[in-house]
Amino acid sequence: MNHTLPFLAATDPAQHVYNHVGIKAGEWWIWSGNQGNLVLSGLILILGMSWVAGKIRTGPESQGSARYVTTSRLAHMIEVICVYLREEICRPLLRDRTDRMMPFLWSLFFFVLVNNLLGLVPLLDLQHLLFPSMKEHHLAFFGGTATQNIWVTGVLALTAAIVFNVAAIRRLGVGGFLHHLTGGAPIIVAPLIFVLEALGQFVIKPIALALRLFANMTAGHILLATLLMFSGAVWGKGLLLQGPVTVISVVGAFAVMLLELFVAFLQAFIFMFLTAVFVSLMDHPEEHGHDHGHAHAHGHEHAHA
Amino acid sequence: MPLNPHNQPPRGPFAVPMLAATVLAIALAAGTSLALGGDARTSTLASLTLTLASAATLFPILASRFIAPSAWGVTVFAAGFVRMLLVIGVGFALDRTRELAREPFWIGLLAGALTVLIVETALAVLILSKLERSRVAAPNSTRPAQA
Repeated sequence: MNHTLPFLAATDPAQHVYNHVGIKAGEWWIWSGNQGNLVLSGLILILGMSWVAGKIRTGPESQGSARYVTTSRLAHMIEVICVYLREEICRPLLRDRTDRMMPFLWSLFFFVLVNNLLGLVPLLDLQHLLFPSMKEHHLAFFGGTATQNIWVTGVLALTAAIVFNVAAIRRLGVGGFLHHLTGGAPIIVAPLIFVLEALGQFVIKPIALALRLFANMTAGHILLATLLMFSGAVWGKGLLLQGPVTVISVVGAFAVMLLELFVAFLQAFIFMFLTAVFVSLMDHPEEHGHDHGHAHAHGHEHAHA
Repeated sequence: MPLNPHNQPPRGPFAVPMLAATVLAIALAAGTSLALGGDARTSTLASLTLTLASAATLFPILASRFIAPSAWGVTVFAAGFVRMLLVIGVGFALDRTRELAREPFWIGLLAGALTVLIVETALAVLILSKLERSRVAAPNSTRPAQA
């Protein structure tokens, strides 16, 4: 395929999904495109959020009532998102622990969100357009979507798992935590329940978090690249074929791009929300037991009926 | 020891454990490098790279007078960020310009860098939790606005 193709089109739709090496030492990857994006998102969050915090912060008394007003539209938007996540989503789940957990949950949400959004910016293609030799050697210093790299989502999920398990141990104590893993089952089946619950708590929940984000981001990008690939596939095959296929391909890609924008927010939200849910599941053992009691009672009623 | 949230960020409770962790990490880098079959030169270069990169750790300690308590956590995070970039950058420069055993060098270097990162993160979380507890307990503390 020659270089006159639209630069987003590729012969292999997965080319946009692969992580590209940036710097190599022998066979060792020292730097990759995803790594560049992670650093970029870190910088955006450190500098951007510090600026936003300054705009949200209560001003000096000399400003009167205006001191409470957030003085930037972007800062206002971020504040609305933060307050919504804290009050509407997390407080009903975490109650007295909400304020303590929010810095982590907000960080998680915005880190995943910024990485998802950076994945929609064609930084990789821009580098390849400006430096064609980089495309030939599959090199990139930044670009791609870090959150469609299973190692990145895995580390995020591992961090979340450490937090929700440590939070559970702090709330229940080691003994209470271990007891909770038996699910209050009779002693005969308790070991089996313990193994299943422990697997769920330490393995399945983190893997579910990691796979969900990885799969959603990967699927969307492959679909987008495949749609754009159609316009590349008919390049130079006559206007009669090229015109309609290109129009349909670009319109379809645009629609999927809008969907991906929504998915970027949705997946960041789901990752944060599920982490909060996993904290809350181990947070109120007395209610958990109470609900179990109800369920068991209903079960008995049904059984008697 | 309770920390005063209105004072400058803590220097001693962060500096002393970080110094110990850095010394331990440098020794670990050298030890791991040697254990993986690296020669004395490789292990020395791994230790030197980590020592050089650890200069970034000093920033939140030396500049603590100029850092607002609310920005201390972000400063520690940024210092850790810069240290990791220095580890990668200096490590790569040495890899390209010196004859060294690649595997012992990089694994030793990363083992040391990871040790400092883990200790730094745990320590920062501990200190920030103490600061937060002191802030909440203070009579004139300001709680986040409820929607």
